[in-house]
Amino acid sequence: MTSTSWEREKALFLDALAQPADTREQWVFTHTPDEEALREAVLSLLTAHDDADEFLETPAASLMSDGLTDPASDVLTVQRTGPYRLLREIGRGGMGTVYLATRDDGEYRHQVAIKLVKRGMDTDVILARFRHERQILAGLDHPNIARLLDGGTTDTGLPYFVMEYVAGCSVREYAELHGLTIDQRLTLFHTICGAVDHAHRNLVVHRDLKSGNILVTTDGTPKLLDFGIAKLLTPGVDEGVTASSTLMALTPEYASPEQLRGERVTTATDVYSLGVLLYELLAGQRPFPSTGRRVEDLAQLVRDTDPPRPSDAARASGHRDAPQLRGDLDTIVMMAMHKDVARRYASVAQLSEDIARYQQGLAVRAHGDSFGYRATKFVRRHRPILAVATLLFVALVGGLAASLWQANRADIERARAERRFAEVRSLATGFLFDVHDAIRTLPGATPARAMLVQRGLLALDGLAREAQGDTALQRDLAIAYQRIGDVQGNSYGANLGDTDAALVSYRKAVELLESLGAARATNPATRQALVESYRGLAAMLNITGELPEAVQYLEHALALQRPLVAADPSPARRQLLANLLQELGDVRGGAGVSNVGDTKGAMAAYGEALAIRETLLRERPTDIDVRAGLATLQLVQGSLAITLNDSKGAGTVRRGVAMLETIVAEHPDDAVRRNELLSGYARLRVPLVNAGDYAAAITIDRKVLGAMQGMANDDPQNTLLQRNLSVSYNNLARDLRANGQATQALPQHRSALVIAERLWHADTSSMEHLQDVAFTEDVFAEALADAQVWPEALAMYARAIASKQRLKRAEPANPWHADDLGFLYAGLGAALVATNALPASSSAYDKAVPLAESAVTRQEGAPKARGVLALVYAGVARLHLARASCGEAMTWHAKAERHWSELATMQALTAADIATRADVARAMSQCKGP
Amino acid sequence: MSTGNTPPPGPADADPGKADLDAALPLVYDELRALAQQYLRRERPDHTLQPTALVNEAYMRLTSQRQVDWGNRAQFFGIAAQMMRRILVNHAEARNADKRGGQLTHVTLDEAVSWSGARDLDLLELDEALARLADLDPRQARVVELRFFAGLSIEDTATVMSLSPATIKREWTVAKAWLRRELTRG
Repeated sequence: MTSTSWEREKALFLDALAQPADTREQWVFTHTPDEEALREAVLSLLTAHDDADEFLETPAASLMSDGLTDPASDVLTVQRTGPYRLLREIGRGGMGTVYLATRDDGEYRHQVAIKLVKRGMDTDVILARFRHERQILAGLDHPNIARLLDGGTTDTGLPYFVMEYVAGCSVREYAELHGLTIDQRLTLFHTICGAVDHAHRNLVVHRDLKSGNILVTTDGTPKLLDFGIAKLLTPGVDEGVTASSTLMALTPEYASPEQLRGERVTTATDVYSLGVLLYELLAGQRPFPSTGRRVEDLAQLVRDTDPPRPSDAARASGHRDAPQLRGDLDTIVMMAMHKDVARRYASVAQLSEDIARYQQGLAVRAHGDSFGYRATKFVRRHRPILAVATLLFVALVGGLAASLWQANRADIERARAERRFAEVRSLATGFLFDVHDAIRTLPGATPARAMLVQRGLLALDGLAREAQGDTALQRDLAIAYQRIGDVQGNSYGANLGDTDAALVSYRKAVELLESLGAARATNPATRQALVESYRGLAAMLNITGELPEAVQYLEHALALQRPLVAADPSPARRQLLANLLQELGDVRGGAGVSNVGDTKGAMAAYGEALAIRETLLRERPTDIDVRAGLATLQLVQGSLAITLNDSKGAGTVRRGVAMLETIVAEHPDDAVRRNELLSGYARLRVPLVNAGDYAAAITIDRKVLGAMQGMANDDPQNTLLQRNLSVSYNNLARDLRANGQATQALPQHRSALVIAERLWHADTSSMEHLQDVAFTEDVFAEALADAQVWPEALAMYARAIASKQRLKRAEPANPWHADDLGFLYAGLGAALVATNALPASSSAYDKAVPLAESAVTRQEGAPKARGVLALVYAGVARLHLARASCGEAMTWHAKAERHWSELATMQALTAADIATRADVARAMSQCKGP
Repeated sequence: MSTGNTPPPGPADADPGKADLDAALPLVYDELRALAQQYLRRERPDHTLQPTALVNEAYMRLTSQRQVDWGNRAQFFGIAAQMMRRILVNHAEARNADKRGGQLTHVTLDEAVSWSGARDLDLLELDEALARLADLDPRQARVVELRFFAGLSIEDTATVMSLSPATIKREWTVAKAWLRRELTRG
């Protein structure tokens, strides 16, 4: 079997599974009309699936140990235990196995769980532990703790006990599966606290609280299970568990720091684990995920570091609840998980009360660590670095220090404060500038960069409040804001996709610098900082769709940068000047990006940038930044040339791609350049598509998609990569569709849409993301129409139109949205003709025609706009054909033909245009009869 | 070994520390095999018997020896799953040889535990089918290795493969159906 046919078989199988069971077969028939072999394959997979419920669900080793050990004696004895009949194994613990069983004496047939000590394990220690668990369970009677029902000894003398059988899934799964709101999650958590509190009141510490040990039944009741390593707090009772074996049984992600240190365990341990559970329920991830970590590293991390706040963790992973977590919920979780037992909630009851207070809108008891406390911790953690920093500092300000010796006591206090101030400042700026820059291009470094910058900024923010009027510090602070803006949202590099936050940071930077008079400052570094801040601000405004403002800030930046270059034409300054010009070109009229529709202005800016970059390359032919700068400029300039029907465009893009290929081969770790190269490949597909060489385009698409998946996996929090991944799915899908494989395009579009929507929901201020959603909906709708999946196609067109209208309202200066709407209404009109909804189609075309006509006027007859207009006219012709009014149809067809033939003389007909033209001509032949 | 199509252990991707890991693979294999054998013979009354725990324990024991940089736990699990497969398949072959005097009739894993509700499953046939699946869809074969042979949960498998749990769930569903179909075709 070839891999493509397997991909289809797989996709059809999964899609079929999503249908109701009784309609699957019919569904498969509908989707494989002429492909008997494929249909048979999918149907046989479905049959196998129905037949495979328990298949492979028990791990191999478990199956083997059951099957290969002494079958005769063991199995027979455990088939029946007392009045219970064992059905199947449902779990294994350290001492025994848990079976699902029924008690079928008389009319009652309810299911229970039986825990049984296994044969050969009935050593004194195990038996003691087993009895211990039974004793603990017997002492607990609570609706949210799995109940002990019965106990006894089997015929062969092994102890067993019978518990309530809980059919359900783990609490986290339950919350995610049912999409519980934060409030519902809190209520569920509150109930769980009640069960743990009950255990504590009965002097039982669970010691292994985690999502997997709390099952939720289908009616939403949580049940606490597995008291296997629980501890009875009664003095004198030793449960006979050695410290080391308990440690082995722990789940490090949930274990408290004192547990990992092997210290005495109290109820505070359960408070900590409940904190971890709450963290997981709210943030959708664990505070210390084990991903990519060694066990001992994880343990050390739990012992020595503070996890990110739940809201930060949630935000970094694009969780939509993040804003709601900030504040009290963060504080509650962090207090429950405090490393210092004394700073935790004193009891589960207190934690649970705070949850209730939060839900009622009352002030919570939890309080965050004071700045002073955090600073102390910070200093303690970084003592060795701090020692070095202190030495450096003393060397630098020796004069000041000397004079302080003679000062009075108050001055000594102040000096101490000042010294600490300087230490923190040097640490903070060290984080911000040195470490950050060092890891900037590493794949997967985005979260680390964010943490560095945030910590550094936190320190500087605090310092700024204490030191008003210190201009050098204010400048450092402004630069810090500018850097954090880059990490938060600058789409020219890897970023966290938080446009709003980035916008705030850049604005703070600009305000600070402008208030310092940076534009007239004698220190070029200060002016440079203002240039960079304007540039960042423009990038964010570009994303939020405030395009004229973005152009304006870029022009401010250019106005400052040009004299800087004139005064000192250093390569770095010229490089920045070229960057600004290139970005100005993008906003003015760049291909495939939001712009104000000024393509001539764009070409002019690109041209000036190109001259600078080419000179730079001649001077420094080995400098990677210079080479990459020219290469990316060639990509954007070439692409714009291609859309302007300039035959040199494709060659320019190819030169850029070739240069990037060399760079990436030399620097395989440079994620930024790798991403640029992939975008270059994607740009190469445009001329191929225009020429109708879809197979070649698909080859490129698959290459880019594969590489992009790898990169996005390596750095999942990098929004830019996620975006590009979505674009890559779309590109492949579009070319598959153009190649006549519309059905195969659908899952690709679906993947693209899922990503685009996730990004948009995570950052609804980003018009760039909304644009991606709208675009994906648009091309998805077209593919659905091609595949003739009409109801979905109509719905998708409606969604695309709604998104576009929203964009048009948000970005009134972007003229392309109106043009796109014309195209979308035409698509909707065509889909309505196909479903025979002719009146609706007619009103869709009523909207499409004027929009497409004004697009041609506005774009001064650009070939692409005329191609769309011809398509719209041809669509109206088809509508009239469907109404059997040949006269009207011929009028509209003639209008379409006029544009097509003019495009043909300009040699600007795309392959898609040619296909549509021929199609319509065929359809029109029914009007040519006598 | 008659199947001969179990893939050799070793990660496919170039990772930092890979050289270390490669050199130490025999150590890992021995450790896992010893643990698995104790496990299969039920010689370990005092410890958790989940296969995950088994792999985890091997990892902890080896890291505590501090001889080698083992890379992270996810990498280790990825390799250990392949090894567990080989160990268990070898074990099943050896048993067949013992029981049937070297004849080719396979012993089914659960011939003695029909009450358990699991269906008959021949490990050697499964191993062969899995090798065919690896040709067709390497990613799915890997999911099966991690889930069935290393006993990892969906979530842990997702971590090891750096994919989303939803993707793993989908691949697992397809792989199970495909293998089921292969094995019932006879």
